[in-house]
Amino acid sequence: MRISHRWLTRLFPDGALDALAVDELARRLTLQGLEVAEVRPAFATFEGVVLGRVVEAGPHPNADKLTLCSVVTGDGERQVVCGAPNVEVGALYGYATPGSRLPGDREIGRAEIRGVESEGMLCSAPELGLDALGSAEEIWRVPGVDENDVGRDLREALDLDDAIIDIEVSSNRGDELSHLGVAREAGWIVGSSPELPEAGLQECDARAGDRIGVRVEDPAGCPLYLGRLIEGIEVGPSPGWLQARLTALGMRPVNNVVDATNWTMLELGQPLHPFDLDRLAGGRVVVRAAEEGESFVTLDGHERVLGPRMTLICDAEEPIALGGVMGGLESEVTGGTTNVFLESAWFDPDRVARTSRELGLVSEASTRFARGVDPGGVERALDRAAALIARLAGGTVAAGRVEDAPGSLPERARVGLRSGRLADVVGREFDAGEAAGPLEAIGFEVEPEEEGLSAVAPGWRFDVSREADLIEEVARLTGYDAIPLEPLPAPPVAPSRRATERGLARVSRAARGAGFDEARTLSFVSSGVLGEASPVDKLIEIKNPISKAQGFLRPYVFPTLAEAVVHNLRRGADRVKLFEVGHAFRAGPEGTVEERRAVALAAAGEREPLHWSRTDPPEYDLYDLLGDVEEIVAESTGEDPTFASGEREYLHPGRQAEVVGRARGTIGFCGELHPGIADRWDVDARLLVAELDFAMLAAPLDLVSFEPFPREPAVERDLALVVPDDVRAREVVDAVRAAGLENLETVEVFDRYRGPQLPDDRYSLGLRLTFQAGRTLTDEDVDAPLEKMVESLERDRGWTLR
Amino acid sequence: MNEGLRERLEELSREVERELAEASDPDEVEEIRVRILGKKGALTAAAKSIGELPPEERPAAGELVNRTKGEIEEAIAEAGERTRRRARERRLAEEALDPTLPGRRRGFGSRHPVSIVADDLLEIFRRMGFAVATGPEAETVWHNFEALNIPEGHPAREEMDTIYLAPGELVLRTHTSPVQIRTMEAVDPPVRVVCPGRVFRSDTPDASHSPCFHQIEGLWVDEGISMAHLKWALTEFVHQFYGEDVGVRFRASYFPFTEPSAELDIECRICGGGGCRACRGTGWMELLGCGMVHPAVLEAVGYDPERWTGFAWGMGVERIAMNKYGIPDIRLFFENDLRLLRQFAAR
Repeated sequence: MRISHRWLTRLFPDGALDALAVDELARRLTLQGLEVAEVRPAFATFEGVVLGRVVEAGPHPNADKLTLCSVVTGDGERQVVCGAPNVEVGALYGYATPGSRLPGDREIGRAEIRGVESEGMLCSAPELGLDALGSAEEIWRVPGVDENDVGRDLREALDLDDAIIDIEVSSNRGDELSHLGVAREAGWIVGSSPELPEAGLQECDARAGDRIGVRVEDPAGCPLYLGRLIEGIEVGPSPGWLQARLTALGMRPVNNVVDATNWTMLELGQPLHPFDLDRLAGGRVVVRAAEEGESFVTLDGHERVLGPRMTLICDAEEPIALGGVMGGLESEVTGGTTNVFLESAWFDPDRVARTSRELGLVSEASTRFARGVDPGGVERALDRAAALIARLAGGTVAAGRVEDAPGSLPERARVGLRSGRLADVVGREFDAGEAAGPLEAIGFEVEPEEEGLSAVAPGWRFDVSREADLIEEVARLTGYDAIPLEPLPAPPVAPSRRATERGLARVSRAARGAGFDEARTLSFVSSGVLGEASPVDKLIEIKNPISKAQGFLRPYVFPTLAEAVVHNLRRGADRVKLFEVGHAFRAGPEGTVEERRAVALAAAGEREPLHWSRTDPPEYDLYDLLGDVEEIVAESTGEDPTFASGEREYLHPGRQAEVVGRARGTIGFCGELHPGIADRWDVDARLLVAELDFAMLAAPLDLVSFEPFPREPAVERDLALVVPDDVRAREVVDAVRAAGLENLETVEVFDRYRGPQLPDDRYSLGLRLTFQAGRTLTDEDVDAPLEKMVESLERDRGWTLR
Repeated sequence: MNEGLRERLEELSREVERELAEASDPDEVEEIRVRILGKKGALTAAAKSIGELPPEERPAAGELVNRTKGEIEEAIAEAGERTRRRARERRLAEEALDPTLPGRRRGFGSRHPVSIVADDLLEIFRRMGFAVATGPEAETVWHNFEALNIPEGHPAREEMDTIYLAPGELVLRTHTSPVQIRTMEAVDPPVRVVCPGRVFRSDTPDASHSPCFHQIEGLWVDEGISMAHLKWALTEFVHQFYGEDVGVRFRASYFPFTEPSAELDIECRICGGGGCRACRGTGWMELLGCGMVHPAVLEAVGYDPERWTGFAWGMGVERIAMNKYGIPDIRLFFENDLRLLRQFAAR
């Protein structure tokens, strides 16, 4: 909400605000809960511009498009050359006298223009920084000034030496969407109360009720509806000072009638709506609920399809306004309007909020009605706006208001405040009267009670219904600075980290140790995130996505992580390894959402960091990933995982594995991304990904119990077995283990060979067997059983020794 | 005294001295030793020749031979030491590498700046007695709104720019406050938790908005907790995180789930409080929102608000990280460019 400092100051005729600098006022309002985002000059800086009257205009002797003007300012006549096409003799303009300074530090002096001297210039509105008030091609004829103003400084005549206090009004305080509302809060700061200037309403004899009737058929949506007639008006531009202030407050000047209602709204917070009386059929206004599917064209030219909980203002024949939100195109006040029906009503906040939300239509009116306006101020606003219209546009205000008030207005409940509770919550004692004072100052009706006080909130406050609300009011108005600091009664021993926190630290350290940088990617993906392999019914759809490409929640963490790897490859990285710990979402049974925390890895590019001793850097591949996964799982869980064949559609069918923990079962999977997914990114590198279940990785480590180890040296034997291509290494290792060799400690793969010395469909696997016993082993202990095993492998499986 | 023997020995000494002087490696010295002192060596032969001398000359000759032998042994030992030292020096010189060439690094990964800042923040609160709690990102409307005193139609709901999920009437949590609710639903007071996590808003991304970001919220509910405790705890936090000399102010604000509510501002980190562009001339920067837990929230989880009071606060991790490291655009956190991530190695 933009507040004019001038306006605010003038709401204190006692001058209470005059002495308070605007920055200090802003600081105090901010501390009090009215957050001032910014204080800035209301208008561009210029000086030396006065109101000048053109008394003579004639052609420039040497230029067709220039006009030679005589301008009077009260102390003589000056000759000014003007390039604008709209010079009017007798009109008043902003006249930049020689020596004046316009916005943008533009100095104006005497100049010779095509051989004729020009003393200063006549200004367009944009040249004065008033862009919204006139075009750049024409000089600005200042509206609403007369002969008495000739020679006056323009800044003073238009009240431009003003500051805008831009307040971020919180959603519970609709009452701060007006100058009067902010003035009440400012009044507490300076110990005064705002007073509205006299409206000066004068009614004529003709009675409004004789010309028009009002009936409310939707009392829930509109409990109170009032109207006045202003007749015989002349619609035209508002005076310059009013237009200027409206623009500074963020509103577009329209005409004197509309501007008057907006002015009153900015003053009091009550939205008003003027209708062209002669365009209302049947001489009556009916307020009713809209019918389902009924359509209506609002002032902005959009056709709106309505629902039954929306309120329509209608004439005898058709809708003329969407109650509390926006007027209609058909009944708006135009240049030809002579009689106005002015509406001031109270619309139900929830209904307006819902209407506004469902139609996606937010207006100055709906913002205020949705937060609640003072039901007690509806009448006053109507009277003040009517008086202002009559003042600005002429015409007479018909006697009396037309009204219908069939609904119930919000009740103002009495709320108790116990002194003890106040002290307990705020953390300090309050003196007698210290709580009542500020409440009364901002409009509460306070009565002392045995335990403290009770208070009735003013009609403009919709956020006070229980004790806590009063505590907040007292605390903020007496100032948070007054509250002392009191150390917390902390437990003697701070709580230890939970297992998942410790697990997270272990996983992170393990992943970083394996060379992965931590990433954080967005949680949204498109429906094609897993290529053809992603059934949309497994994905969680977002009802209101930010973009089409982000219409679903990620079913795994690795796809967005792989995309981050691609991002880096495209920007020239040779080697990218990223990990992320994040949540993934998949559809569970019966419309449930299964949310899991996962550890994802994604890597591509060169296997090792660049080094001068390295030739022909190998590309990171599945075996690198398997090793990294093994390290990370082992480091996180204290247990080496094993790998089994996998069949995930989004991974390369021949380059993937399930990650299995001996005690934990399936921990996750890893592999090369399926080309069907990777190809759309159009990068050369192979993308390797893994996804592991966080809970399994983060589970607490088992207690280690020491196992004695033999002092005697181990015996090693290397064995190269030639096996068919379709036999997996794991199978060979398992077969050797299963042979029951005595004292066999470990079996490790040290070589894998395929080549000309071997049949085409076979390969050789080199195994290193380590034997260990509680005594020194001899060759005889080891070799004979080993020979027997080799024989049986050849006999049973056809595997031979190389 | 046998002059012939004396001359032979002197000749031998000189010869050995000369040869040793020329020897440049330990092998040559060894060869000399064998040749002179070995079983068939020249000195050994000289010693044997003593037996052929007349008996009265033998003692003097024996002494002479022994003395000469001692001198030669010493000279050989010295030469051996000298040549071995030389040989090692030669080898070391030949083996010299260029230590200015880069070594082989394995490439230890870095932590994400959001993790770094979040951990730093959590550590401070942990020391103050808060335990860490987490919860789901896909939340029920009850936990995200209703239990937090944000009923349907409440303007705060509109302002949150909530992301709604198609199934199950769920939303992506707009703040980490639902974790507070879940915690209070699960345990009896007192409650002391901090809740870090990812939150979501349907904001169009720009330099200061991201549809995903991270928050840390805290909650302390106990008997006799007041705003004075809140002020102490959060002032202490600021001093721990930013330093003892950083000014703090609490100003009134509004949140549906706390009352009274406050914003905590700290002195602008850029101008130090004098007023600059970044703080819009006020000298203050908004750090976090806080307040006394609204009695309606306590009632929603079945706590008696007459007996239990508490305070809560919440802050955005990215904003603090942007502030701390001078990162100008929140989107950079989710772009994961290595040129950003690697700047946080070893942090």
